[in-house]
Amino acid sequence: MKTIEIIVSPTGQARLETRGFQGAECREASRFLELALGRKTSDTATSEFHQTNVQQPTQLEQKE
Amino acid sequence: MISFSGGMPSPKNGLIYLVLIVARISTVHQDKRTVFFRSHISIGGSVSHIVMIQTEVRDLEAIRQATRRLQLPEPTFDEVQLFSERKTGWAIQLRDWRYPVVANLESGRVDFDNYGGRWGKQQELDQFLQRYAVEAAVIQARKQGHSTTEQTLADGSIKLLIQVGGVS
Repeated sequence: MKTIEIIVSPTGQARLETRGFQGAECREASRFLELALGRKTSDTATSEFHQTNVQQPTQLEQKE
Repeated sequence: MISFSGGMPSPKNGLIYLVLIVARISTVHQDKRTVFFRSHISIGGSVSHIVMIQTEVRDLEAIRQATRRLQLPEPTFDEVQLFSERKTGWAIQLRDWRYPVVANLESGRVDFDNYGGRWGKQQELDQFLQRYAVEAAVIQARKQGHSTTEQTLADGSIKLLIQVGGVS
């Protein structure tokens, strides 16, 4: 599900977070809201890793 | 990073260090020469971004909605005398404020003179800006055909969840 969550603080500052989008789509999807709300003060990309976790053995050599 | 303040680690610090290592490594197999552990590697996934926004007041419809929700008088376009200067824009009369605040839709700025809180509580302006931001977002989301759900959080913040492509 593609969602955009906005949390507006009691002083009127907004935090916007997109979820469930692929690639650059997330920035496109929220641009109209960013423009409507005001001046962007920060923009941080994050990665959501909620697909299959693959377990892979890793080998470390111990020194004598 | 874990750092100890010089010298040999104390037994207590050593125990904390050990617990952190155990928590990080999910499975450990050990023999005389080799340590195996399983690491979790995630593949694929969707991308998100977090944007912080300082609210600017540019949408008259959102101003109107906010004043209705807060049961304030309708905004009027006017030249307003504040204490020492005149401002032209959309005048919003906040509760128990001596002078209205004046929103300039071109700049997004709100001019006011509350004499450091003596002529009007900052909280009233903050509440208006919060409600304005929510209404502005709802109006634009619905124009795009998205559905919205609003929730007030314990700290007084308002959470707006927009379901992209949903119908409100």
